[in-house]
Amino acid sequence: MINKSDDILLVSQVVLFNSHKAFEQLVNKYQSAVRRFFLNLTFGNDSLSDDLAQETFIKVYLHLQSFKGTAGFSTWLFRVAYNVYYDYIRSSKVNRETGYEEVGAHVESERPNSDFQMDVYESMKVLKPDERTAVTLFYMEDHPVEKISKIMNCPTGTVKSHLSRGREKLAEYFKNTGYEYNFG
Amino acid sequence: MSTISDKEIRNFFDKAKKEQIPDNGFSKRVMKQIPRQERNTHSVIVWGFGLVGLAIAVLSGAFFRVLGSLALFGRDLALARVPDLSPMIVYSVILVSLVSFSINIFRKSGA
Repeated sequence: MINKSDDILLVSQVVLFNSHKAFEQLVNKYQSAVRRFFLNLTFGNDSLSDDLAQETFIKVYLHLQSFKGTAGFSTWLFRVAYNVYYDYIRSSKVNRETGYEEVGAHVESERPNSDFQMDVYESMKVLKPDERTAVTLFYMEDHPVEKISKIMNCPTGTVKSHLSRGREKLAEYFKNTGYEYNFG
Repeated sequence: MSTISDKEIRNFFDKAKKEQIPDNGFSKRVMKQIPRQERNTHSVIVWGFGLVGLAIAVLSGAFFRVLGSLALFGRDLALARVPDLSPMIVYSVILVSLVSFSINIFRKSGA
């Protein structure tokens, strides 16, 4: 397991010595988190989330010199991932109001998803992209609000608003689907 | 509007979160897509500045003074005498130690 200081060391090796081995270690370490992030944003679309994750890592490699190291590598990585997701939404002509409908319109999964996992993806569809991003990062990845605000490049108050609205919409969804009875 | 507690939301997502996704060749696919040529310019810059630094050290004579001091230091050690710790010797020892330390770190983490 490599920690944050190892991240900086690996990044410096990539920037200074163009070390592909060091970059592969970074990809190895973060591939799961980044792909899981995109899976939640695309409602379990395996091929799309892998494409977006791949694009994210390539952009990270190409712009690694602009990483200042002040916010931590994982924050910066998720910021790039968030931008890639928004570029995808824009290029697909999907606006913020209707985005979730079109992104989830052609979901095809190569990995077998459990019924519960499908429930999670279904619940995500009631959220707007910003709310979905905030909920995913906060509840699924356990990132604090401050870190999410850096990733989404917005004030912490805005993140809290996204989370609050997300909670309200999820409550409504759970109520309508009867999911409230399964809360432990 | 319905309300739901933070704890209830957490309970719902707890089951799904932190699911480790197996690599299944993903990292290799990413590495195949990494452009190889563009980044080589950085290595050229690093090596270029390294050579310029070496040339300056050689032309100014500092390089040979460092080598001479190291040789004297080595000779004193070989003769088992406590060497005179001049500033140049201290500087040389620190420099060599730092360089070997850095190389070791890069080798270990790059392996």
